Amino acid sequence: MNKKLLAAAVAGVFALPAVALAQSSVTISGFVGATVDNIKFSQPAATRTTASESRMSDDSSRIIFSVREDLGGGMSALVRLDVRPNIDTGAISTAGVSYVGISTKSAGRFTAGRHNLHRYKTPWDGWPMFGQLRMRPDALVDFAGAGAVAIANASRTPNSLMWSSPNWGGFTLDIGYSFNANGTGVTEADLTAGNTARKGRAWMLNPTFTAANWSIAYSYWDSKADAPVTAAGGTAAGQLASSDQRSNQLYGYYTWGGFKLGLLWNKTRLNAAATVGAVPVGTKLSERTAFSIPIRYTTGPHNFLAHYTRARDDTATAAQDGAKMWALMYAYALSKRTNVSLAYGKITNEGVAAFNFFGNAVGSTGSANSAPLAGEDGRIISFGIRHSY
Amino acid sequence: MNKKLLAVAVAGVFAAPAAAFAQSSVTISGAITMTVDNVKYSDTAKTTRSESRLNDESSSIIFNVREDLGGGMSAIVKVDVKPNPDSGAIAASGESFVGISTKTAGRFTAGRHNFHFFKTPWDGYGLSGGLKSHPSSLIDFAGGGKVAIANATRTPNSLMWSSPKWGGFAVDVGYSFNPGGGNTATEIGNAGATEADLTAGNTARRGRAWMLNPTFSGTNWHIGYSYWNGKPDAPTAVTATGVPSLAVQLGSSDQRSDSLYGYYTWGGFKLGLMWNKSKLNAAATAAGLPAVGTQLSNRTAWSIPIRYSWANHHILAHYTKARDDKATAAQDGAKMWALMYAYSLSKRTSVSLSYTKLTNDGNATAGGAGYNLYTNIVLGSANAGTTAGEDVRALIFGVRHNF
Repeated sequence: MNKKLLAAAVAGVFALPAVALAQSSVTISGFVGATVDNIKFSQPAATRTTASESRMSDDSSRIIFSVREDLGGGMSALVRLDVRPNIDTGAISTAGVSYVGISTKSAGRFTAGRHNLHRYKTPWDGWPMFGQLRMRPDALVDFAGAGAVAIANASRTPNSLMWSSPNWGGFTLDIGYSFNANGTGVTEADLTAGNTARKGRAWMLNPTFTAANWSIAYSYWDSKADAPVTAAGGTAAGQLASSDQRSNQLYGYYTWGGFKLGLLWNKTRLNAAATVGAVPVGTKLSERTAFSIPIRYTTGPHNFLAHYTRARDDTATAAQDGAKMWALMYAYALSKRTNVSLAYGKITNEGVAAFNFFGNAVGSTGSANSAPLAGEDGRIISFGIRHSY
Repeated sequence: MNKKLLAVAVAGVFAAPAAAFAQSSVTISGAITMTVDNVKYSDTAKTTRSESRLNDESSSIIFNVREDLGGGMSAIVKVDVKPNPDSGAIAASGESFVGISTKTAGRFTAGRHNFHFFKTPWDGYGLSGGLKSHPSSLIDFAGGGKVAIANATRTPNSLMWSSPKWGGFAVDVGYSFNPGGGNTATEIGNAGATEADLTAGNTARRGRAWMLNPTFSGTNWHIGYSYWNGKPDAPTAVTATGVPSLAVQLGSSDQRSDSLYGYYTWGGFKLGLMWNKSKLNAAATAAGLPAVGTQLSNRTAWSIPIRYSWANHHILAHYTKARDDKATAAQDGAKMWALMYAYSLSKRTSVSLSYTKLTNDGNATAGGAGYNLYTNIVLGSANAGTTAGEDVRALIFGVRHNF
């Protein structure tokens, strides 16, 4: 996220104590985006009596408050609070990346809060750079279990600590830990009445090497939900959602001239953490491989983007449940911080798969009943506008 | 909303890029309004007829962002956050959008907008009088007072074009992909609705709303017309949940509303006038309910607000009437009046004392009106709703600070 605008902290002018100004700064940044979409389903289920709709959607708008205090000796206290106002529905939350911590020049940065762990790694510049959240390859890459289970929440991970190394000649390392990673809004739940399962936790390891025009990285995710028996609720869907997750990703990009070529490979496994019916703890419920190839070409204010992404058929299930997605996008930069865009995205679900466009659920930035049912194919045509500040 | 305080802009001091700063600004403005009131009901079956309380009156913290794109064009952002200093709730339910503003072709925005509601030229709200004494209590509701027109608040899923000012004339045109509908269970409309044409089992026409609002302003007068035509998405939900009822059918009905309004000022006086006609037609039906297309409500309302100001003192009053609904057999009109004194402690801070009374026609037995003081539940208290024929009065002390 660019933090280009200092939006606060004008002590002298606005009568804040001068001492406070010398020590601390508050920066307001973020972006506000909206899209006008038409979404349509082919091969609709019998219950889908209306197969298409037009809508206006918020594009995950945010107001970010960043606070920094120089503690001396190369050390700083830092705070980030990422507020998400939905300019469509009027909802608001602090669901973004938010934390408090200490940053040092030689030992890196330690933070506690809610972090991006493992997710969102595909080097696709369509979003957040230009808008159009729903075109992201994460629609397939960050989901397993035929599209029903988000890996690493496909969002921020709560209850988490993170250490980010200094930059050692291009090499950096992020290590994250969560006390309970199963859900974006959950608190710790080992004390749940009747819980006899192992304690929940998650680890994330993310080494990256970045050179002048290329980058390569690996991301490891291993999570176990708190109190999985309660979370499973005795249903197959609950068992899948509360399962132990193990995911590996390798990704990178290369740029030359106005071109950027990316690649991501992901392998994810889900193992039952609670017994439901005849399916005992430890059963492998999902094992699928996915890959994505994003490309971009930029010339002046014009940006052309595309990606092809595929989630292969799950080797742990008998049903056909892979999916493929492609997206095509044009973005025109009205300035360095304002752009408009036009995009087309299509997801083809095999058999019983139900992979959805990213952020397309109601309660997120989508609309009611816009999630695909098993085997339905979705396509979106979208016009977007976005301003970063 | 006044935007009087620039809370930003100290780039140089904190090493933000000077070029970036020159192009974009973030302004924080808003207002905090609190009232202490006593509401009392008559012609009522309530076992306790009155209560005193403290209310938030839709306080706002507004973030405005503007970037100069050159050639008279700007990128604009507005995010209107609503903190409730009473309940502790918070929402971004104000008018929020992102868009492009041009000097010659007007302003295009996408987000949630003020469409059609709150048009009565009553100045009491901005002078700390709160919302409960606002003429919108009658003007922005139909169906015996139970259905909010144009949500009686912001409309979600919406696009808007605002023209430049052509010698005092301006026009706003708005469109919503799903205006939400006047949900009778929420007092104000479904302002948080997302698009819902894809609702399982929905076979109805697609929802949408149009708004047209031309205005003309002279030096000391103003006249405006506002047109609203709203059809909520998936109205067939009336047949899908619980026992179908006329109240739910009313809530999901198609809305058509016309308002003509204006004011004239001379010296310290201001005289306003508002006329509104609203119709509700059934958009879905079920066993025992009127057929699709049946006119469920057709009522006319008007309001006369006046104000006299001298120095720091302001005296305001309005008389407002919702006439008996032509589409119903029951007596279901209502009348309302309010008297208010406000004192400006500065240009941005005021205190006030108000008295307002709303009288609903009819009664519980014969089926009467259930108009209520505006936002008397959502920004009032849980059981402050009115049943058919109940009357309500409020004595209100308010304080407001604009920043």
